[in-house]
Amino acid sequence: MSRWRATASLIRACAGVAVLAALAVVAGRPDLLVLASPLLLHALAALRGRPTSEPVVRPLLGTETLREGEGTTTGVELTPAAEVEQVVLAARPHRWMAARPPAGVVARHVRPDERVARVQLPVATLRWGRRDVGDGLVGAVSRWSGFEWGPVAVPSRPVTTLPVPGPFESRTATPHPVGLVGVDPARRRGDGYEFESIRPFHPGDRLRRVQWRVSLRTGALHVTSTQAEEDSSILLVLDSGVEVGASGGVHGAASSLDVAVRAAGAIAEHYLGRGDRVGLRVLGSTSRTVVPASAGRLQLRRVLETLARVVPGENRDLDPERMRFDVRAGTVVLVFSPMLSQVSVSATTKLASRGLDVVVVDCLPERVDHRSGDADVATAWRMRVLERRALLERAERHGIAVVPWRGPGTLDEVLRRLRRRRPTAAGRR
Amino acid sequence: MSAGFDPNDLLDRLSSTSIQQRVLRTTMVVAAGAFLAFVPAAGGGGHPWLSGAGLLLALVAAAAPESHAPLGLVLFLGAFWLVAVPDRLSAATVPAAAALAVLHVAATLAAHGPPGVTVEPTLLRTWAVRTLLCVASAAGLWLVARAAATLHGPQSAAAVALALLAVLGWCLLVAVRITGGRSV
Repeated sequence: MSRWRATASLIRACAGVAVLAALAVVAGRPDLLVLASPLLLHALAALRGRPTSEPVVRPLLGTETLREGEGTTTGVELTPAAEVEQVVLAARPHRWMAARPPAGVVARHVRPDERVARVQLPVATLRWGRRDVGDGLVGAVSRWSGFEWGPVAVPSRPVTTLPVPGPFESRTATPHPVGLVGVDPARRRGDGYEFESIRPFHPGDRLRRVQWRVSLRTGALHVTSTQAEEDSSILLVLDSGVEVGASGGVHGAASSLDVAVRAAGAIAEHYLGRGDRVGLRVLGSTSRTVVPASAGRLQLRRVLETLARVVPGENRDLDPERMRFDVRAGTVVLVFSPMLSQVSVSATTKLASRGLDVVVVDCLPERVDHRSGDADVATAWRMRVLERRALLERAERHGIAVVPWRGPGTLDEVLRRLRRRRPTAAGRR
Repeated sequence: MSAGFDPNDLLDRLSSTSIQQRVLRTTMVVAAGAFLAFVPAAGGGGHPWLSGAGLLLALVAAAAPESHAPLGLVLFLGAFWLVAVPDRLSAATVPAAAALAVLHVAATLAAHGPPGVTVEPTLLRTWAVRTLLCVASAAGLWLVARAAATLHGPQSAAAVALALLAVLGWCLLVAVRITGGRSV
């Protein structure tokens, strides 16, 4: 346990007074006493304020869940604080946390009437992920800087930084809506807003659907039929096995995993906002890797929290043959990957072979800094790019569409093409 | 918050100092220089080597205010004054005491935390008032000493012994208060 101990300042004052006073007496020099008198006053005041109780530290954290770029406060609370004049907190720097001041050291003057001393450090999170923050050292100084306490270690607290979904908008309906209610025009007739045809009246048709103009002209009752509107099921598959490019955080360059995580978040937000069902599968993580498909705002939170827990290259022993995907027929599978590993290509072709609509969202950044000054690295990267080209061609031979992530409208064209395509037997299952 | 002085990370610590810390450390050197300047003013004559040593010691103390280097500087300056100044109660004694007080307070504030710390302005104001009080006490003591010197009282052995006993009492009081009465 840490205890109060004399500061270097108090020792200096006391020793200075003792030595100068002794010299003054021995040498008969009162001017040395004059020189020592400020130190004497300081020493007496500091000794009078010797603390009697040990402060208790309680770590503080503003909020445990943030979005990229958002800020919160981390700090400590010391009780009792009546004998404390200043509290200093020195937070441990973290790569993706920016503190103000940047050194992460903050001091607070505690007034004599304060019972609790709180010192807080504003921090901002710069990249999605889950990391421990707030750890560091805290120390205190008594009145007149006579005694010091600490430094004492402050425990860390976990903070989850949700990815900021990139801008995304899609005006194209999903190819095979399979649910009950939603906004995507289905392939069957039913209640909806999209015009389908004008047909003869059948028992059970609603009167407000009667097309009076055609009925008068033909002499038989006709009704306007519409396409049913259903919700869709989207499965997001995220490849976290490989991360290419250096991440610069929310305000800097994006790595392939940054692009993948933010794109997956954006698409999840878009479709869940429309009432569709969205699920998530992370390839290459060891912790929570599956979020079953569901709808609603809570599901968005689940998806974003799972994305925030993604760690690149955490599990390199994935066997594509043993992977199981619990996917309903008619589900659109969106694979977010730089397509640089055999595992992601195998998983994608396996899903496509089940007759599902699979779209690969290529997350390789346009510019990848591979230290071009190093000839060996540049050669290795060129070989990797050639290998990737072969993997992409293999995927396209299996009828898998590959689109680079461009934000809004990325999926429009490919979804239109998939919608025009006749559903396969497996896709209708 | 004084940590042990480690020469290995001295440059790291200096490079991470805040602006306020740099000002406080510069103040230490300036105050030491002012004290040395008051020695000739008090009739001490020029002592370039000793003055140079004092400034060097001030630089060391400014580099590591959390160590006991400032204590060595204070003792050096006191001894230098004793050796160099012949006049017992010169008018320059009070500004010299003020310089010593400023040096001591600047070292105290500079040792209030890690090098990157910035002390709140309210605490700086509090310490400014305290420094003024300390300087006022020195001025008051100087006036009393000047008044006493005019009486030309005898400097008996008994008086010196009593004064030494008072110094010993001070040391005992300090030891008791600092250790909390545990070991004394």
